[in-house]
Amino acid sequence: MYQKIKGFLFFNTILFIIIALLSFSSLAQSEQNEKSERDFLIYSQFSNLVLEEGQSVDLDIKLINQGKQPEEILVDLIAAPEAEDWEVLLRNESWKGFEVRQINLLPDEPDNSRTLNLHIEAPKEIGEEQKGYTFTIKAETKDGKLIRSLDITVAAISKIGEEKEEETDEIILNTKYPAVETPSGKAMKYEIEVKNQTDEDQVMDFAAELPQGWRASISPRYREDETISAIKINKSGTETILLVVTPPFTTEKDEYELKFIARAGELEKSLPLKAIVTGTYTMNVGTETGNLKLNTISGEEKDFLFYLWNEGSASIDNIAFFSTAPQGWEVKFNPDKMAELPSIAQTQQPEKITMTVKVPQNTVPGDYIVTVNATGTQDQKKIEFRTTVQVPTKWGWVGVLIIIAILAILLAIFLKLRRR
Amino acid sequence: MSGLGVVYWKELADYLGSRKFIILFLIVALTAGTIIYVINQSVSSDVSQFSGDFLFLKLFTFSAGTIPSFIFFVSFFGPLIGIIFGFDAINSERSGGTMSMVLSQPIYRDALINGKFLAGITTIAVMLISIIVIISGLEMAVFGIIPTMQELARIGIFFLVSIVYIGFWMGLGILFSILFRQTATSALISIMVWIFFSFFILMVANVIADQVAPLGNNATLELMGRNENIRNMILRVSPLILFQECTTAILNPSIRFFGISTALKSMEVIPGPLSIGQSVLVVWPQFVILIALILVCFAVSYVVFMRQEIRST
Repeated sequence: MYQKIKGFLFFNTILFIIIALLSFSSLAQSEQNEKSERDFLIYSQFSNLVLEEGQSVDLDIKLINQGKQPEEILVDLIAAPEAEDWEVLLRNESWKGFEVRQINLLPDEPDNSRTLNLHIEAPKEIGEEQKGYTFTIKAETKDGKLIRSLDITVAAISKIGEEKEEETDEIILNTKYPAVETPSGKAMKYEIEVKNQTDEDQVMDFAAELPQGWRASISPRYREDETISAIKINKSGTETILLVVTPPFTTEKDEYELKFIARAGELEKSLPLKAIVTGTYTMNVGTETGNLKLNTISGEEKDFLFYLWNEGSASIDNIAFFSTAPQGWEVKFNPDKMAELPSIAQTQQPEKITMTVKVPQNTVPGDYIVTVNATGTQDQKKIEFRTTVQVPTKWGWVGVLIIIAILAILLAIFLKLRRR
Repeated sequence: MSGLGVVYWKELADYLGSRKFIILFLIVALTAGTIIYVINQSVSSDVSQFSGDFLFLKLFTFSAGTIPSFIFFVSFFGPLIGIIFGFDAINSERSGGTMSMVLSQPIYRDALINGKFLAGITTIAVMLISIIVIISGLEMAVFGIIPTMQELARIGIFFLVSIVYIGFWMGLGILFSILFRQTATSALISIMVWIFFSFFILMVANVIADQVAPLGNNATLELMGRNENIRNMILRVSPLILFQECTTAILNPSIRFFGISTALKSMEVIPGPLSIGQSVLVVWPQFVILIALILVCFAVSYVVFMRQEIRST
C-alpha cells in the first residue's frame, strides 16, 4: 500500500515535470510563432479622458511592429459624428508636428516602434453635455491583412462662471513695474506688454484714465519720440509699448491710481497702475526789485527785505538762514528759521524775510559780498548781495562843525580886536 | 573894513610883480613840464602801466623813477612857496619903517593883516591854477585825453586842498614874521619847521613805532599792523602827510585806506573806484585838520598882531 502510494507520488511528480516542460515549450513555441508572423500593436497610456471647454490635450499613441517583416501601416483618425467641432489631429511627436497618414516600421529595434501625438482640443462651447466622444484610431497594414484600432473616449465638461474672464483674457496686459515714483512735473514711464490672444490680428486702441491735469502719451518701445494711440498686433502676438505719464507741477505728494485701457473692437482690458508723486522742491530767493545790491553805512545797522518762496509742489521743511559776510559783520534774519515753506501754488505769496546787516565801524568803504544761504531739508538756495559800504557822513558833519566853531572863534576875535 | 581893498590890491600887485614870484613860478612851471615829459617818455616805452579808468587823474599821481609825482612835488615845495610869501610879511615892513606909515593912513590894523593874508592866498591860487591848467593842457595835447566831469571835479577839490595847504604854510610864515622882529629869524624858523615836518618826522615816527611795537625777525602780521598804525599816527602830525593822503585819495578813486592794518581789513572788499563823495569822506578828517590848521594859524597871527605895540622908530 505504502509502495503504491510512493509509486503514485513519483508518477505524479514526473507527470508534473512533463506537463511543466510541455507548457514551457508550448509557450516558447507560441512566442516564436507570433514573432514569426506579422503583427503590430497600437497602444496609448490613457484611453478615457475628461476635458474642459476649450482645453486641449496631447496624447502619446505608440505603434510597435511585433512581426518579422517591415510593415507599412496606414493610420486613420475617425471622430464620432457628434464631435464635429472638436479639433483632432494625429501628428508626429516633435513640437508643431505634421499630420501623419502612414507609418513605416522595421522589425528590429529601435525602429520597430513609433510614437504619434494625438492632439484633441475641446470646442469653446459645448452645446449639450455628452458623456463621451469617441475618437478611433484605425491602423491597417497596406495589404489590409492586419487591422488594429484604438478607441479614445473623451468626456467634455463645461466651465460655468469662468466664461467671462476667459473672454477678457483675449487681451493680456502686463507690466513689470506697476508702481512708479516721480517728482511732480517729471514724466514717469511704464513699460506695458500687450498680448493678443485672439485668433485674429487686432488693432488695439489705447487710453489712460488719469487724475485731472495729468498728461499721458503712448509710444512704441525704443521709439519714445513718437506718439501712438493704436497698434496692430498679430494674432497670438505680443507688443511692448511705453506709457509716459506726466503729473503737473502742482501735484501734491501722494499716491495716485491710474488705469491703462486697451480696446480692440468689443474686447477691452484694463491694467491698474500706481503713480507715486514725491513732489518737487525748488526754493527761490529774490528781492522786490530783483536788485541784489545793498547800500549801507559803516558802523550802522540796516534792514533789508527779501522774499523766499517755493516753486515746487511740496513743502520744504526746516528752513534756516545763514550768511557769509566779511569779518566782523553781523547778519541777522527775522525770522531766522521756518518750520516749513509750502508751495507758492498754495500760499500765493512769498515769505518776507528781513535781513539786518550791521557793518562794523571803520569799515573801509567799497563793495562787499554778502552771501545768504537758505537751506531746507529738501532744497537750498544761495544768493549774493553786493553790499556797498559808505563812510558815515556824521563824521563829516563833525568836521564841518569844527570848522564852523573855529570860524566863530575867529569872528569873535575879529569883533573884539578890530578897529584899534 | 575900510582899507582892506587898498591893502589887498597893493599887496597882490607887490606879490605878482615881485622877482621871487617870477622865479618861483618859473621853477614850478619847469618842474611841471619835466613831469609831463617824463610821463610821456615812460608811457611810450610801456603803455600797459598807463591804462584803465581815470587816466587823466593818473597823470597827477604818476611818478616815474626818480621824478616824483605832481602831488609829491606840491607837498614838498608848496610849503616853500608859502613860506617865501609869508616869512617877511610883517617884520620887513616893521624894520623898513613902513608899518607906522601905513597905519598912519586911514587903514585899520586888521585890514592890514587881512589884506596881506588874502593877497597871499590869491597869489598862491593864481600860481596853482596856472600850473594845473598848464599840466592839463599839455596832457590833452600830448596824450589826447579829455577829462570827464568827475575828473574835473576831483581836480577842483585837489586845487582847493592845495590852496589850503600852501596857505597854511604862508600863514605860518606870517605868524613867525609877527613873532620875530628879524626876517632872517622868521625865515630860518619857518624853514626849520618845514624840514622837521618833511624829513625828521619820518625818522621820529619810525623810531617811536619800533620802540613801542618792535618788529623782530618773525613779526606777526598783527604786530606789523600795530607798528604801521603807530607810525601813521605820528606821521599824521605833519601837514605834509595829511596833504599827501588827502590828495592821493582824491586823485586816485580806488584808494580807500592808508596803511597795512586797514589794508588787512579791506581784503574782502571788491576793488573798484569810489564815488567822489566817498573819496572825500575817506580823507575828510585830514581835510578838516588842514582847514583847521590854516584858520588857527591865521587866528593866532591876528590876535598877536592886534595886541602888538607898534612904534615908529
